[in-house]
Amino acid sequence: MRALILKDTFILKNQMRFFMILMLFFALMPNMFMQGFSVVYGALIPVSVLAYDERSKWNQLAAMMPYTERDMVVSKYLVGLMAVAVSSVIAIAARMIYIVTGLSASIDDIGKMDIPACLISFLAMIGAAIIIMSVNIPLLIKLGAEKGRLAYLVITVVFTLVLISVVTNVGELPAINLSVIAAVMIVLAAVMLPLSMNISGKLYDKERQ
Amino acid sequence: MKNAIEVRGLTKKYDGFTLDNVSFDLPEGCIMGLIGENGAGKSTTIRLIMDAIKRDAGSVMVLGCDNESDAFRDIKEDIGVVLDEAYFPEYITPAFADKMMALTYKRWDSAKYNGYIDEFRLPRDKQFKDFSRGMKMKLAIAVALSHDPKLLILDEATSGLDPIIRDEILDMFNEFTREPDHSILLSSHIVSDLEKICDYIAFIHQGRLIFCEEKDALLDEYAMVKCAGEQVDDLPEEALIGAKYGKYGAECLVRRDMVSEAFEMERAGIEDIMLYMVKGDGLK
Amino acid sequence: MEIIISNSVNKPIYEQICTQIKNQIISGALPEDEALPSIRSLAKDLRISVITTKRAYDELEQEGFIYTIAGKGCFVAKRNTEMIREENLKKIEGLLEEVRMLARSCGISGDELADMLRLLTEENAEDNTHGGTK
Repeated sequence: MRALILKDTFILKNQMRFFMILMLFFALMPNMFMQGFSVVYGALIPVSVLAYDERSKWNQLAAMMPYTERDMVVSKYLVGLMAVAVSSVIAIAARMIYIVTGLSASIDDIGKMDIPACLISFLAMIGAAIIIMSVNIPLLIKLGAEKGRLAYLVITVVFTLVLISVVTNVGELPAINLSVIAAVMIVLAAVMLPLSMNISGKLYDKERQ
Repeated sequence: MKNAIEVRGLTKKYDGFTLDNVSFDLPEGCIMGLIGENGAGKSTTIRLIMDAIKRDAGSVMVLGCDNESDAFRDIKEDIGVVLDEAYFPEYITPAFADKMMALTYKRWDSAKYNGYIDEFRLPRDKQFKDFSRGMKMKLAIAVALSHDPKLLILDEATSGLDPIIRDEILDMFNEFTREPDHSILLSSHIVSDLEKICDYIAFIHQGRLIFCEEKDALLDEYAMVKCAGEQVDDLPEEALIGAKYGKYGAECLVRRDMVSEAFEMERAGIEDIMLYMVKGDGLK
Repeated sequence: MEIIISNSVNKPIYEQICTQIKNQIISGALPEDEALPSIRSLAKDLRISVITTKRAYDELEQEGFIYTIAGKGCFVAKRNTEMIREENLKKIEGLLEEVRMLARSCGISGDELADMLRLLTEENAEDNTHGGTK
């Protein structure tokens, strides 16, 4: 499994360097929307990775190496989770700094948000990212990177737009609603992730035809 | 003698193609060549042996292990694989492959691998996608040989390479089997390569196994007769496998011991045997 | 030890190996108890199939030219005149068979053949009495 994760992080460093930098850039922006986007963006990483694998028919070769099917499937999730974690940490840290230094009050539209509310919104976005990934990865395994591309794009964009607008307009909503949203996201994420991995495993197995 | 690979009744159905009831054994310590035209079923057979695709019927035992069992995952440590069109992802470099394989195989030998990379003169930091087909093959072979495998499974590993390199690589495969517990299953449509180093030849045609024989026995059993067209009828019927009539004469594949020495005979090559069995009059 | 493999259609490779090793044993080039290369290394060095070298060694052992010690390898057996005579007799038989087939294909009868042989033997009678070969 470590080999597979190493391979996938290698792509990120080499092929997707531009996007990684972009993600970092968004995470550091004092704009909740952009920061949210950087978190959710991590959920899209597995998609690119799967596409590269498909191009060189790596799966056929990997099937003959001592990886388990579990390795092959779980490693994709792990890479996505790692990306989400990294951008979350950076975004949250940046946001903390902005709040403390008062920068956010002048630049941001939700500059009035205090720390707890911020953390809760980030939680919601992490949850969202995991949900998106849980939906996308099985889709891609089933449809393949080419056909699945359109599907995941639509789902991801719509979902992200909806969610992030809700969160950024939270200034108008009472804080408790934000917590509810976040809680729902996290619970959904916690449920869907293992379910998704399970489904992916089965789909991957069927793909071996 | 133990068998490195045992295949029984292996069957796989696709739309428009069926691999039908293939059975053969690869004895330990031997090199078996799988020959057949493109699309005959060689790659399918290899993928089925490695359980990369699911079989519809039959059984496969590799290095003493049922290839559908959980234990097979560990057996893969002992198997080196080179495939025809499936490779490492295009952004991988030989240097990176080293790190990746070190985390993949328990007995990965980095020094050995780098030795091959140098010997093959592969640029360490160039991306796979910039490699020629020959270079891709060499990298795959370097990887396959560097984790102390007992069995090599090679699908068209020599196609796309120039004759000098092919010869060097065949030499490496020959050396690999100096150890009595090292075996090779190698498929190719370049029959001359197989003729050089194989102990056994298995001929697959349109999804069926036509024969699986000791190579030298095959070469001793058959011969080519070149004669005038009418003389073909002088040959005993059971001896004639197939004949090709040309403008100036005929060429036939015969069973050597059934034909009198009055006919001028030449050694038949494996390719001749293949061709005449498929196209000639007698497909037994 | 020298082994040269030719691609001739008439002599299977294992036979060629057998014959050449036999000749070297008979001539003394391969002394008694000399270790022979292992079946495997011989095959790899000659770039031929291990099945063939094994077959050659099996036949050599069966005919008493070599012996095997388990775990150690194959060695040249004691050379004796009986063995040499046996070998030459086989060669003569083989050659006679070839002659017979040739004769048949051009219609020469067994009697004619016998006459030819007698003539030849008488012509070379001098060599026979002196026990040498030309």
